[in-house]
Formats: sequence, C-alpha cells, structure tokens
Amino acid sequence: MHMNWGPQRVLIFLAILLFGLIGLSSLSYQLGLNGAASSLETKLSSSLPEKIIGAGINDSHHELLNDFLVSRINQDLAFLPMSGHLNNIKYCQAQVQSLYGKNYHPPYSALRTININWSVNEHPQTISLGLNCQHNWPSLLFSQFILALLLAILLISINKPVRGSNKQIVNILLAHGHPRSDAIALSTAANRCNNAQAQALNVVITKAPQHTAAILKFLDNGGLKNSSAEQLDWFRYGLQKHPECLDDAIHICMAPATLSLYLATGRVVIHGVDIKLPSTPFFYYFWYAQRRHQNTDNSEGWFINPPSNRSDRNADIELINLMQQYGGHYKAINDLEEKGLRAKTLDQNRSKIKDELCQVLGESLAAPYLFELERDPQTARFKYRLAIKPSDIVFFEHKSRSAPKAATASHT
Amino acid sequence: MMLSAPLISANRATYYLLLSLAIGLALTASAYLSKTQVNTVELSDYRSYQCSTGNTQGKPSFRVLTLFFSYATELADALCNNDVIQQNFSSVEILWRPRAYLGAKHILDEDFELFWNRYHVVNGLVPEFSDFYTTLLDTPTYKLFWLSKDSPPNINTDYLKDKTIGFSHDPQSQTHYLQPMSALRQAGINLNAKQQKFYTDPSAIYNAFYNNEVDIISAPLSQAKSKNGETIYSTLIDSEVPSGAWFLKNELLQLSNIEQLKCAVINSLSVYTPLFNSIHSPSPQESACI
Repeated sequence: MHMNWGPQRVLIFLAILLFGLIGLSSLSYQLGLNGAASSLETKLSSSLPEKIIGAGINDSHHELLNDFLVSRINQDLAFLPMSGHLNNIKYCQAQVQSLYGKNYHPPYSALRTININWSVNEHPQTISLGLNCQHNWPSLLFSQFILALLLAILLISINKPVRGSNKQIVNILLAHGHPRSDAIALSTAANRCNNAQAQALNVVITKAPQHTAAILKFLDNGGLKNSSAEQLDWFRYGLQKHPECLDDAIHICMAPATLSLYLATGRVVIHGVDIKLPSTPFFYYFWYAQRRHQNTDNSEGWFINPPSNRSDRNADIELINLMQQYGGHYKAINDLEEKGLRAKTLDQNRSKIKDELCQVLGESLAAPYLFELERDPQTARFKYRLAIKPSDIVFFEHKSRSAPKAATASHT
Repeated sequence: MMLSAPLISANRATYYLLLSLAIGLALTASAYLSKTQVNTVELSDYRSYQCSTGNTQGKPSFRVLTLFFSYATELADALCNNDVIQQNFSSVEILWRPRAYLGAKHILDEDFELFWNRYHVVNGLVPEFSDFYTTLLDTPTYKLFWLSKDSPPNINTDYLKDKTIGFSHDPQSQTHYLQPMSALRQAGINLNAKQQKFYTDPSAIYNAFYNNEVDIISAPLSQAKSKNGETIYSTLIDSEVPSGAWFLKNELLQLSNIEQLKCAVINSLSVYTPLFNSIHSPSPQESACI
C-alpha cells in the first residue's frame, strides 16, 4: 500500500503548490531585480564617474553639460541585455533620475534605483539612475513552478511523527509483518475513530492483535460507527468464539438482537450465534417463545407454574403436539401424556436451557434471552416468561435457516 | 500519483527540521537560479559630439578639437548646417579634451581639420607647425583679475599670510595656473602648501570661491558674481592675456572653395561670441566674411 492520497492530502499538496509558486516567484522576481541593479551599479561605479568628470573638463558651468550628459548616458543605457542561470530577465534599461542635483524624469517608473557616488575636489557627487527590466514571465513562472512542485512533493512526503497513542498500534502491525510505511498509514486510521470504534479497536488490539490491520481498514471505511455497548459486548464474544476470523466476529456483532427458533432442526440463533439445544429443552423454549410472541390468553407470555399437587392438563397438549410433529423425544411425550405438565418439568427444562445458553454465550450475553419470574399475586405461585420482547422472536419451520422469510403465522 | 515509502520523522523536532530543510532548499535553489547580472556595459565617449551634414557621398568627417563642452555642440551644428561644409564633408565631429591631449603627432598627421589652442602650446609641440596648420582666427585677449571677498586682494606676503588661493590642477591653464603663479613669482611670493588649493576644472574653482573654501582666485571679471550679494573685490593681473587661436589644417587650403570654407568656419565660430563677449571688453574682430 502506498501513500494515502485522501482528499485532505491532495488539498494540502495543491495549497503548497500554489503558495510555493507565488512565494518563489516573488522571491525570484525581487532577487533578479536586485542582482541586475547591483551588477549594473558595480560596472558603472568603475567607469561612469570618470567619464562624467572628463566631459566637464575645463568647463566653468555645468548646467547645459548636465542635459547633454544625461541624454548620452540614457542612450548608452537604453538597452542592457542580461544574463543569468535562468534568463528570467531578458534585458533592462536605466535612465538618469538626477545628476549634480538636477532632477530628470524617465518615462517609466523605476523598479530599482541605482546611486553612484564619487568625490571630486573632496565634494561628494551622486548620479541616480532608475532601472526598469523586462521579465521573461513564462520562464520565471515555469521554473518556479517546477521548484514549487518539487517542494510540494518533498513536504508532502515528510510525514508527521507517529502519535504516541498510535505507536502501540504501529508496533503490533510491525510485529505481524506489515511494512513500516503501511503500519504508519494504517495507524492514522485510529485518529479518525469515534468512541465506539475506538473501543472495538481496543478489543482487537488486546484480545486478537492479529486482526489489527483488518479492523483498522474496516473501521476506516465506517464500520461499527454507530455500534452500541451491547454490540461491542457481542463483538468481544465473537472474537473469542472465532479468533481466526474477524468477519465472523463482526457478523455476530452486527446481527439483529433477535431470538430465532428453527423447529425443523432444533437450533436457535441468538444475535447471530447458532446454538443447538438438546431436543426437549428446545421444545419447551419454543413453547415459552410462542406464548410470549402470540400473547396467549393475554398473559403477555407469563405462564404460572402449575401447583405441585396438580399438573396442567391443557397446556400439555400444545407441547405434545409440537413434539410429536417435530420429532420430540418419546420419553418426554410419554411423560406429558401420563402425568401432564408439571411444575417440576418446567423448572428442569428452564434450568437446562439456561445452562446450555450460558455455557455458549456466558451469563451476561445470555441473560436477555432467558426467563424472568414473578410471583403471581392471586395464586401465590411463581410465573415465568421469556424476558425478550415479542417482536424480537422469529420462528422458522422450514429446514434452511438462511431462508429470507419466516414460516407460517408466527412472524408478525 | 504513486510514491514509494514516504519520509517518516522520528519525533517532532526532526519533523520540523526536515520541513525547514525542505523549504530552505527550495528558497536557496530559487535564489541561486534567479541570479542575474548585466552583460558588458559600453559607455560611449562623453567628450565628443557628432552630427551629419546630409551628404551621403562618402565624404570625410570634419574633425574639430576644442577644450571644453560649452558651445561645442552649437559649433558642430552650425557647421553641419552650413552649405559649404555640406558640400565637402559628410559629418562634423567635435571633441573636447584637456590641454595636454594635443600632441605633436596630431599636428604632424593633421588629424583635425580645426583645433583651438594657445600659440605657446602649439609652438612648443611642433615649432614648424605652420607647415601643417594655418591660423584661421585669433580669439580675443582678455583681462585677468585677482578676486576676493572681504577686502581688495593685495599681492604681498602680509596680506596673503592667512589666505588660500584656488588654482587649477592643469599646469597648462593660463587663467587658473600659469598667469596667477607667474604673477606671484614676480611679486616674490612663495606660498606654502596650506595656502594653495587645486581643482580639476574651472567650475569647481568658482564654486570653491563662492562657497568660501578659498579666499582668492584668478579669473576674468565676468566671474566676479557672488551668491548673497557680497561685494567682490578685484585687482588686475594682466589686461591682455592672450587666449589662443583656431588653427585650420593646411590640406584644406588645396580645396577649390577654400575661401568660402574659411568664411563658413569663421561664421560658425560666432557661436562662441557670448563667451568671449563676457570676458573681453568688446574689441570687434570684424572679418571680411559674412
């Protein structure tokens, strides 16, 4: 993976290019003029004063001579070819602005002023010249553009030092064989994580560092942005369950918080986790789930345990039908047919369900999918129901659990 | 655009250092590449002036040698506009040079069609100069004075005790060296170094006098003007200082229209009238020319 050319980086590059071009061009323009002026000043300092003095020899007054000299000097300096490494300035001209105290007005405004001083009879004299130059703008701009481009490339290539908190990430990535440049580029993704993403990242770093690169890419693309605390718990679980496959962990984390029951196979899927329950507990789970989902007898899913001395002879029929239809254990069916639905059976099965789910998911993740109990005020006996919301229960009667639609009347 | 591994900084300090280096590099490169200088500068000769007569037949140039700029361009232009000159010459070139410029070779080679100088100088260079040059026109003599500001200048040791006199650097200058020095010698006066100041040209001498850098100078009376209306005192040194003459080269005497040519030159030389009128009491040198 090469440098990250996100929109921000491109903007910075263009900004450096633009300001670099403007800045370097101004510098080049000014320095060019400075060089031209100073080289002209040097050349003229050695020759011009003696020529001016020589012209005034034997003269008692200088006024007319001034005008003559100025016109001759202007002629001589009207066209001055320039040379340089780049030829940014093609040629210049210099015109006299003042000589022996008399001012002259060149027809243009000078970009630079050159003053040449000499001393005659211990009196200091000055000639002042205004310099004007013709710039070769294409050459100047092009050359400075190239420099600005090189500068922009250079600046953009110098990466900021790795933030302290990201050093750990870089080290992990390096330890897992990523090249240094990739490691640093990836680590910057950590800066763009929100709270939830940062927590997920932290989980991976601590529990499954081999997936650091993958999770950083996933998070940088917006993954887990709006994940809740519960989802993070599931993510943690998912990593634990599938340490070799991050995608599975993510799938579990993102799965809906539903309880899906598959009659045909005796399996449940809780929040994306597939669990096979033993046959009889599965049917009792299914039965409680049905009551909860369908609000049987307007009980909101509650079923009061039958009294210990009398079994329920109505509800057992529902269970018997279920088991018969879907391959329940003959022993369980016999038990119901002979003794009816007893509190003991219910308690045993609920306990079994709890054991199974807790074994797979752990107590805290399993809890929302287990039972809640209350004491019925009228009968003073305990009643139980599934804690989960009715709308979060999905029933499947067909074999394939990847079928998009649930079966029959159960799903509303 | 794909690039390979970017430069990574170890820490903040390195990062800023690298940035500064990069920017510094760009600035240095720009500065180096922007260096500009002028190619050779040729300054022409500011002690000469040339004009064209309009004659395109490849005739020679009429070359004049004088001592100073004043009226030199006017003389050249007058000659250029003259019919006779136009017939014989394609251009007029006038040079002004220090006195010491004129050499024997110039005279022997008849380098100049016309030049001005003093008899004693020309004589000194080539005693038989009349073989090469003829006197065309004498320039008028003039009166020379000592000038001073606070009191009339007296040439005696007492008066000059604490005074400075301004001279010309050029020992050939009549007005500002030969005449005054000779006058002092004749009066038996030896000035010490502090009492003498030397200047490169007359204008500087006059400025020095006006600005009270020197107390006394030698000059024609026309120079006796003061800045603030102070009184200028004068004492005569010599009433008839010879100025010099214009000399014409003998080769021209062979031209068929030589008399017309002489007249043409003399008429053109009238541009100098203001100059000589100011230093000389009018003694008209009427010539036969119109």
